[in-house]
Amino acid sequence: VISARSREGTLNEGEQEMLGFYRQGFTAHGDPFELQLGHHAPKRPADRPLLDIAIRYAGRDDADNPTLRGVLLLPPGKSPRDPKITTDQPTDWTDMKLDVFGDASWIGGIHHSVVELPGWSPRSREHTFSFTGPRDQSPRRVVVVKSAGALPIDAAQTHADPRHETGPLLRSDVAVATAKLTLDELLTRQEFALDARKPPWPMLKAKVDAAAGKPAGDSDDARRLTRLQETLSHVRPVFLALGAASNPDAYLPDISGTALRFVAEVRQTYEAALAGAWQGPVDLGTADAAFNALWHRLTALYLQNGKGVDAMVRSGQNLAQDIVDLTGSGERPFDRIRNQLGVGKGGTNVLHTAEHAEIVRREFTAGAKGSLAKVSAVVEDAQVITGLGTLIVTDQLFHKFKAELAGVMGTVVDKTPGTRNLTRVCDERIAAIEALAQTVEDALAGARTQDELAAALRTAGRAAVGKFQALANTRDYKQDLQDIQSRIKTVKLLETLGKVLAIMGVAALTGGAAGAAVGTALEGMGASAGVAATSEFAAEVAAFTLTSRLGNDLAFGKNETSLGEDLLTNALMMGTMKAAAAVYGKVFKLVADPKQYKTAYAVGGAMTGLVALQMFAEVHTLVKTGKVMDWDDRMRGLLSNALMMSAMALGGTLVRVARTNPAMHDLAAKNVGPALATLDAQITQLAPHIEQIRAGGPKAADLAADLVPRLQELWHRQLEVFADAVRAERDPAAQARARETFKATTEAFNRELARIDLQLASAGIDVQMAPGASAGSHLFEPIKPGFVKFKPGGKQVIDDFYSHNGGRVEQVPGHDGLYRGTDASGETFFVEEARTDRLLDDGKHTGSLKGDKVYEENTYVKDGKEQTSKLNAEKIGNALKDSVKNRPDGARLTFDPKAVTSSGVDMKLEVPTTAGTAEVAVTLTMKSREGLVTSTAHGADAGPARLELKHAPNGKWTATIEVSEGMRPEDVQFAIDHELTEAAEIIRRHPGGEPKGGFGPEMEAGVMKPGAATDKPTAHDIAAAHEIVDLYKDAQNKPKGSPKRKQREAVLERALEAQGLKDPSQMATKLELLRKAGAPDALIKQVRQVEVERIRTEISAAQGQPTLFDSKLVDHLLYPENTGAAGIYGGHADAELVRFTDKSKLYAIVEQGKPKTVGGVTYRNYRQYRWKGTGPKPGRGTPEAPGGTKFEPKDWEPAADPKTTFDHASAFLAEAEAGYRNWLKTAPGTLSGQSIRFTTPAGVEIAAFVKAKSPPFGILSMFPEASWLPP
Amino acid sequence: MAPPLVPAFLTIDGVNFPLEANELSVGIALGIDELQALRYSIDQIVNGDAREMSLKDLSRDGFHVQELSLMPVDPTRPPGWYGDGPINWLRLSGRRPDLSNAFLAWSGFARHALVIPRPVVLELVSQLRVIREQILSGKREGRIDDTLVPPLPPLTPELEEHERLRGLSFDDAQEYREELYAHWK
Repeated sequence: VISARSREGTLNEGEQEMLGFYRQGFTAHGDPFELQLGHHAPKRPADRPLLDIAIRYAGRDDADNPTLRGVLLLPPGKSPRDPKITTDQPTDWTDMKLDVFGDASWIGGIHHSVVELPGWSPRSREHTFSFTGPRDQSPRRVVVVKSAGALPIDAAQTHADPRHETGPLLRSDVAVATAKLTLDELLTRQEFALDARKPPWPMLKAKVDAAAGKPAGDSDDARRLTRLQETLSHVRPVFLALGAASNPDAYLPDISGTALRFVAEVRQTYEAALAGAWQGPVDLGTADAAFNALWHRLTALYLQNGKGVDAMVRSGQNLAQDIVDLTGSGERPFDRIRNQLGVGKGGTNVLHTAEHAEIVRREFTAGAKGSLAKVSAVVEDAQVITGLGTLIVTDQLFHKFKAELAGVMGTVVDKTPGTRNLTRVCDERIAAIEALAQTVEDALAGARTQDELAAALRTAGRAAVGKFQALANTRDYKQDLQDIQSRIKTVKLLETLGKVLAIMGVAALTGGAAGAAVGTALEGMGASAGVAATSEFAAEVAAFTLTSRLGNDLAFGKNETSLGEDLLTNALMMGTMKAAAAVYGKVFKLVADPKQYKTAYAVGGAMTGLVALQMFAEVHTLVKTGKVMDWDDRMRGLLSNALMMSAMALGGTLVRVARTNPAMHDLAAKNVGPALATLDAQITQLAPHIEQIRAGGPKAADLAADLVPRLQELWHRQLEVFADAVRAERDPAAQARARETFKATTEAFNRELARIDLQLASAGIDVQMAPGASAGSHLFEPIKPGFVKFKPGGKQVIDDFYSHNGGRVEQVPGHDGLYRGTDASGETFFVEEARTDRLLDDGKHTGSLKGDKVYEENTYVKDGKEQTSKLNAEKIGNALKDSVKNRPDGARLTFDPKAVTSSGVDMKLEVPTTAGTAEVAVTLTMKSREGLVTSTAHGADAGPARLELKHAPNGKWTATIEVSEGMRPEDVQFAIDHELTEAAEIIRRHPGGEPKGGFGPEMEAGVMKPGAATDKPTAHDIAAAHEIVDLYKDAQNKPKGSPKRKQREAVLERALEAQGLKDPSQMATKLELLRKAGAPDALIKQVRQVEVERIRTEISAAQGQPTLFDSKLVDHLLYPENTGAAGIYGGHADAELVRFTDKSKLYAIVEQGKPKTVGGVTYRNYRQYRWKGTGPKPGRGTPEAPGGTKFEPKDWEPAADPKTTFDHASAFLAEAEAGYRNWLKTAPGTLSGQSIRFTTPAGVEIAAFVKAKSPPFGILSMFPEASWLPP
Repeated sequence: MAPPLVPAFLTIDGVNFPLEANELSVGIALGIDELQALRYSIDQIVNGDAREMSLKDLSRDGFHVQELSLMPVDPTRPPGWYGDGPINWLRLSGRRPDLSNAFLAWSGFARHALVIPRPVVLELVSQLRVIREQILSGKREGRIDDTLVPPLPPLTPELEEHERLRGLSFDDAQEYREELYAHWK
């Protein structure tokens, strides 16, 4: 029986007794459990006393069988006392002995085994417990524990969201106005279900409100607010989905409490992450991961044993017995329904709900592809069968009520003035219910095959159940039942009624499947969308599914937004495209060549849509034929979806023309009837193709591409036919009217094209017409994700679009010409073209050192006050002499030493570039720290130097370097060097001058910062790496322990922190930058310890205890090193080994045998070679390299050893540690040799060398055994 | 009378090899970095899976398992081919190794290689196998006596420079070695 929601968390029947005489917690394979032993004393002489064993999963992951029970016979006459419970091992025991009387007179046992199931990442654990007494045994019980954050293995490999890049900066006042609108909407509209009083919202609101009052122009504010606006825009669809998922009626009543808790936890994870959104970029990775896993967790709730769909199926089976018991109450027979309910035959039906539920549960547990899609179908089938059961039982109950009310007293009461005639009420209810049942009975009667029967149940049955549920939720119905119950005396009837009401819940038979439907929809959409695997995508699908399943009123409260298929194929797709484009942080330009798109250029008007259609089709073909290889799936999906959307919209317009332009159509029918008929017939043939595209699926984009030439051909043909119809009018006045009609027709089509232009621009796709295109051909141009510029005439298109789409357009307060459009696809800001300049930041960029506390000011005390020293000309000159020697990458610095003053000096920097040597006039200016120009690069974290770089139209480069005059003399060179290196690198990268967007992005920290999200180093990163290396070398050159060395080491320490070298993000790239800057090995080793410790933390977290693997071992396994001999030292992490050998002048590797994937980790076996030929080592993949077609064995020395690798360090190490810990359990006290082997729980064979031959042994090195990998 | 203990070191060809032992095995003790790769190979050959390997086979083929080897040196190759193996024998013995009759002890988990004369390896293995037999048969106690192991020979200026450089930069140390090796010819 489905229990009421309020029962969650309370004890089930019999559980109170179980709190009997013994209770303990234990851990098995990392999963916590609680064991309870209870004694059931006999209540009758014939009864035997029983030992009740309950094992309850006590962790926070998801168990499909929360409590496992076993019962064993106990000897009579004794009560358990002082039980002695022992296990064969302190943890992870296999056998537990239950000496419940403490005197060995009766000993029972529990046997435990565990298997890791493939399919989910992390893997699910299947725990089996069996219970044995001296004379009996209890059936074994199984619980599968799935990790809360688990994703199906395929999804886990592709699910990681790329970090959102930062688009161009908004002006601070624009950023705050837009951020405020989004934030206010999030906090006020109930769809988002956010509590504005809870953190971080009050803080964010206060900050945004305060910023709203500040004047524009502060670059730091622009940066912060742009970032905040982008972050809020990212989480908006997420909170919308979570809001929809917060409706208890989306779930079956017995799981809704847990489901809402899961949803609330994810919301809290986002809110916690957003707490830092004002201070700096926030990492939403954890929250996004939890969001993506949420739908799988919710689905799992439906599949628990004894709950969700299982409970519903059992309820249906129980109802079958009630129907038997109540048969003969005067009800109509409805034999076909009763047959499907399995009345009298154990509850089986043509939908096989019980069997299907079990099959789906097993598939889901195994992480099988497609299982998610089956869950909601199984839930809905169970709802139909159970719902029909409640319908039939309720019919019977009303008949019984009527009979009972027909007794003398009932009749008297019914006739008494002022009381209700309940007999009549029963008749009315019976009539309504039987009418509903009859629709199902009729549908079943018409079915001839099993499939038709199933279809009838799912359509007519579902419709009847839906109506019955709606009826049962009316106030009148509830009142009727209440009145009737007050007069019914038969307890059995009241019990059955109570059961029916409990089953029906509020929306148990209809809306309760919505929660499962999200997983279904995600799996279905993911197969075709190409842009799956973003949390935005999941959010769109979740919000749409929940909303459409529950109906608007249930999900969001009353509103007028239309929802339906169009939302999925239009708004949802648009939202997904917008989200995908936002991930790139930029817009995509496609420029139409006038020669290729002659018609579009000639006809003019808003032709972009038609041009886009053709361009997308061409791009699609290029991608499909492999000619575009360097785009990722998201990019391909973006353009595929754009193609599908455009094809659907334009094809649909063409097909609908008779309906939308009846005047033109009638005119053509009158004047050129046969030609129109032929054309219409051809157009009609398009309809099924468009429907196929609308239906989605993996071939939809191909279909759309194939349709493009036909669409264009027919559109042109249509214009020709219509033009002929106009020309056919002989009367001048009639022809003038015909021309107007024709014009209206083409304008209508242009509006449709403009609408597509708008949608594409909103999605970040800019289909530009080259110069020469007619005015109005391209009304909308994306500026940055979420922001679109529009030309005159565009506003009307925007208004029409949002009006048609059920959205709204509002002006951003205080910003003329800036509008915000919101609809189901999210939000987009539109700005008038003439005002665009006021939208973005002015583009003036100032670079700087990063780390405001890295270099201390040089101070002294005078008159009791701390004063800042000022560098004199000599100190500055000395620093510059060193700077001259220290220019990397061939740059040359010259200056006149005599010209140096305490205010600075003019210098010349020569930078070799691909376009020749660039000469830069450098002005070094010394200023007070406070007087330095504001840095746009690092905001408040800017250090004591600044760089401004300019490239004049005449090609002249100028650089202004400002340095704090209060710097210590010994530090100033590092500041100047940083800025010179940064300037040279920018010039080297952009020898032709400023790229669009300016030099600003190059002056930002991309890689060299905490929480780095990109592996693409900026010029600042290059300079920062040199700064660190220079500081390190300077420290090494000072005597150990000297005050100067200590001071330099302190500066270095702060610089490491500021440049993100104490943070593991993008560690491989950071190390590479340092190497390129000439970092000594010791510095590299020092820095990479951050990554080593991160891995160690992950291992410890994975196993819930500190790892046994020390830093030295992890470092050794992660990072390969040169030995000078034939083989490589350490380095079993695949990516690092490949990187190392690629960079090495000596070593090369070539994979041998086949890789093997176990537990999500792929293991590989490489042969190692050392180059001994002449000239540079051939690169990997070249014909001359090992494995290549021109490989020359005499030029290479193969190592005797293979090198085996793993591709996921922490997963491998956690797995290896589990194996090592198991080995330790059975290890002898003394080893004879230092080589050991063990197999991990997942079956990975590991060879290892121990440090010592006696405990605690310790691992010196270990690696996947080469012989274990397939040849 | 208690059986004798295992000597704290064996001296072969003038080099002192510090020992460690337990009730099942004997081998080279921890402590000298230059001996690490050799230590693990010798352990395998004396106590581990290769303990049945004949000295004749060892002398001819060397010993090799994944990530660990003690293989004959190819005398046609320059010393630099063997990394810091040749200079490490110089460090231990005070003499340059004769590459025409030597082994290279190498491991993927020991920082340093060692070129070691073939007769020294064979003698070392031979003596350690005898000691292991004595331990297992109760004729020796599986413990080390308390004799102090003599220190390594003093560093020459060139070795001292090499040690300093390898503490700073592998590439610098390698470059320096190559220069030294060039004078060995």
